[in-house]
Amino acid sequence: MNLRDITLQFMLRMRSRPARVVRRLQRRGFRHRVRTPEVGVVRAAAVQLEWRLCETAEEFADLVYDNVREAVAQGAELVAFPEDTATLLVGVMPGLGPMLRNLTVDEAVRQIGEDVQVAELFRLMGGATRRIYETTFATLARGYGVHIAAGSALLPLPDQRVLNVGHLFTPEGRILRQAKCHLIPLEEEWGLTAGEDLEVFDTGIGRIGLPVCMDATFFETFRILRQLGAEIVVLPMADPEYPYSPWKALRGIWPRVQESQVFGVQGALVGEALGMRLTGHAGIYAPLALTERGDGRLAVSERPEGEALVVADLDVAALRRLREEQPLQLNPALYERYFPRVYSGFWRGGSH
Amino acid sequence: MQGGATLERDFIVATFRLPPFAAPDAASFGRALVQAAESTAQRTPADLYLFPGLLALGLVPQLDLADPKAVALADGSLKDAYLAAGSYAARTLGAVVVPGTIYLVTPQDRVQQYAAVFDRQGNLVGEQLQTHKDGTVQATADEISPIAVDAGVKVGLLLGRDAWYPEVSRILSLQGADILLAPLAPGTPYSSEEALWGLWQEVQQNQVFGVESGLFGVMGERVYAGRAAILAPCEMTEDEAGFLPRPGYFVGTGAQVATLRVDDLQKVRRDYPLLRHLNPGLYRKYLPLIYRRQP
Repeated sequence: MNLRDITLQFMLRMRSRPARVVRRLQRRGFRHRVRTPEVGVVRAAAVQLEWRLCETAEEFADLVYDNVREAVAQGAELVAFPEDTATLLVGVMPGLGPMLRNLTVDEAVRQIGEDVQVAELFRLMGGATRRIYETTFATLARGYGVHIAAGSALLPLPDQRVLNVGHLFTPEGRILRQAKCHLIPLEEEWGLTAGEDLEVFDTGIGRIGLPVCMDATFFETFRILRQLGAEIVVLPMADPEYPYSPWKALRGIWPRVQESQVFGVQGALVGEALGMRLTGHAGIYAPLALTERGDGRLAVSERPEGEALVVADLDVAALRRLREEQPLQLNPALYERYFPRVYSGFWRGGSH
Repeated sequence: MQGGATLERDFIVATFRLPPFAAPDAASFGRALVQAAESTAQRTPADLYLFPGLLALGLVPQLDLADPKAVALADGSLKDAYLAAGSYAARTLGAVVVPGTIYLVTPQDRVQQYAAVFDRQGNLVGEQLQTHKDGTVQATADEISPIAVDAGVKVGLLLGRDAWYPEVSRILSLQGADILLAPLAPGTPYSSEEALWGLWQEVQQNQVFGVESGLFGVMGERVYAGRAAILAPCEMTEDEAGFLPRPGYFVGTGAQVATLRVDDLQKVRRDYPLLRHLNPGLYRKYLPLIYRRQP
């Protein structure tokens, strides 16, 4: 490590000291929810967040705090943030903030070197991102006594691979993680790596799966989570689709919720972000039979742009009854006969 | 080749939304199919005609579908009449025909749903049984494969609830079916949301074409509410809605006709090769064994 790198890491460490975040949040204070939860019902909130650069840890903590406070004020026990929430923290990187006002993240990284991948940036600032991101959400989850699905963060593993990792922070201080398993082409260009495991987490509010955005394009993700026992699937999203297409948006969480009989809670990142224009709705979804209008929507933001917070009750007891009354009629013998063969064609690099 | 594209040329398809009608024998049922097809053929002769599920039960209009024994009694003659009528219609039209579906019964008195596919010469080129149970169908198949219906054209059949189990479409499309056919007879209510969760989704998540036909009206004790549609990936349709003939699901009486353009489909797949983003390493860890697990 040369002197420049040592200096950079020192600056990042100073800018990401957990004490800065904790002090800031404690100064703002926590008023616990007063609502007594109904047995078998979870009140969930989904955040639609406009992307912006945060150049300090305090700025990020304030932004997250405001959204959590609003959700808790409405009685939420589960608060879901969008995919890539931690990318707001690229402004903490010395010198990068001003560059990103005029350049895309790709262009900014190419200023460092033509063959440098964007993943290198997230590798470099992984430690700082992790400290601010985890301290912020963990402090708020404990402080308010709620579960916070903190969207996702691009973080390096010890072996230097960078993954897009969904996070859930519990009031007891647990941090649960799930790597995105299906990357969009841009993430592949950036040099990210896809995860190869799915997990369902037992929490105080139910059994939760945490896939990330593009994972919902493929039915396999939700089917695996359902079979692992998921009742609630939290899906952080950041969709680089502009202009917004309501039809294309129907290819994500909504059908997956129907196919697998789960609740779906989707936070959405919108606005200009790292050279992309993001659109999408924060929304809370349920099987058709569990929604008042039979449309599978419990609460959806009014517009696919701008900020919003939507709240709805997930009647987990009703979901369990639905599953008993209308069980999935799966055919394992059919899948055992064909799946190894049809997927192995793609394992070897096949395509249409 | 697994997952290989098979569609090599543009292909015109016609699909129907029809009420049940009584037909005293195979000949009259076959003539009715031809008559319905010719009403569209005067405008655009199609390469393939898809008729609604259970339409052929009009051959036994008094059939009590709630009684498997009654279905069993009708079974032999019904299947013979259905096959004869389908073959006649295909020969007469010089087109591929799927004459809807019928119910069959296993020796254990369990109901199956069955469909046959005929080529332009009237030859039986493929058969399929429903693979997922529903309220009526209690005996299902463990085999499903694309059916070659014409030079360079393979179709996959989704019967009954199979259109709502994405595993079926994935298996068919990864085996090379570029057109999914769903001859349906959904009971009422059949909302637009339920329709969108069915074949429309399968078309989108596999980047293939889809053709849905629908039975509607009353037959015996049952009320049907089928729709008709010809579907394609959003990127190649007006307003990105995924419907080739707009405005969407057809709820009138009669036919929908559209040309499935192979160049457009290939462009969609080239621009966004969705299936390249499948994660077989992940699936290999969990599928298919996880289906044996009781969640």
